Amino acid sequence: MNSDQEMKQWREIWQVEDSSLAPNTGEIRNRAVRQERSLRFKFILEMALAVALLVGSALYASVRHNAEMLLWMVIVWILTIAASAFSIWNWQILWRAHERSVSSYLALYRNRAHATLRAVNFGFALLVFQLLIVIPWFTYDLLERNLPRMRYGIAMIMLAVLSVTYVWVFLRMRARAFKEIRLADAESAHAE
Amino acid sequence: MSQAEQDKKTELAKQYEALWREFGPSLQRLVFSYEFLPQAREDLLQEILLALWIALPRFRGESSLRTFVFRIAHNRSLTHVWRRKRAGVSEDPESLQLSDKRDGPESAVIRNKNQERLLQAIRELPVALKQMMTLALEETSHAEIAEILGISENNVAVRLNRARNLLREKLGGRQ
Repeated sequence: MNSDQEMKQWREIWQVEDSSLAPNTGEIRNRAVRQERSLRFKFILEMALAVALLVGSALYASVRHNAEMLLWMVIVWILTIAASAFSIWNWQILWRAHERSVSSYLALYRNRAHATLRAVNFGFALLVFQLLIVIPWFTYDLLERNLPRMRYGIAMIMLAVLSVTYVWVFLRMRARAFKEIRLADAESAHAE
Repeated sequence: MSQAEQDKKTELAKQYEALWREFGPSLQRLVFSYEFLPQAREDLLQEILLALWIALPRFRGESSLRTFVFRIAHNRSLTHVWRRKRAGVSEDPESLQLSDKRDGPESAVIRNKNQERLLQAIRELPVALKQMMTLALEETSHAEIAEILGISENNVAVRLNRARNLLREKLGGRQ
């Protein structure tokens, strides 16, 4: 059998239709609409939370008007704006990406994983930077400004819990990104 | 909602129905080539249809509707497969077959023995070759395949040849 005949035979087998597979199109559309609505709702919730954080931190800083609170507000604003910008970018790119060609989608997928790795590295650096500021600051308050030992202890425990949580999240993100890069590379290798 | 928006939605729903009528059977076959388990197939089909529903308003006819649909379907399937791999879901055909027979309401769907053999062999191909073969089996032209996959037409011919050889090998091993 030549290859054209072989292909023709495979096509005939492949294209056998089975009416039992046909779903209700109206129901599919309705489910798609519901899913889309729920995704949009989640996105709006995220944005609402971001706005609440921005407004809340500004209000709090304006009530307790001092340099520390101002610094805290600035950090909250920077992190919230960065997270929201990423969320908006991700939302836009997430669905549009599917309209690209498969190889371009593959490249985008790999780039996103690399971007995640960069974000994780930045997160680690930021965490170390914050710890280098906050720990000496609290310790200085304890030794020189009579900060109660109890408050100092609670602050240190909270700091440790937060740091461990961040490190855990970052490590998970990093492992996932590496796995995605390996998967994308494996697909590209098969394609070559 | 204004009358214009309502009309737009109605028009979109009509386009979506027409798209399903035209490409529904192809999308179902595509889903079968990626997933054996009925539930996983259903999930993947839903994901593709959702992606199409979201993308449809942006379709401006820069490419053919066929290219547009298959790009979305294959990219969505790729994400689906990767997510499954990340989660460490078993791909052992024996266990998958067992699950299908026991659990699936659609277990009686693949009645044709030859179709079952072909589907199983296609499922075992590496994703890049699987995409190539399913597109070729849907009688997609080399130019369209090149556009969908983002590769040159020469590359399509090379990859199709490789997919065909591997599929023949797998089918040979099954006889």
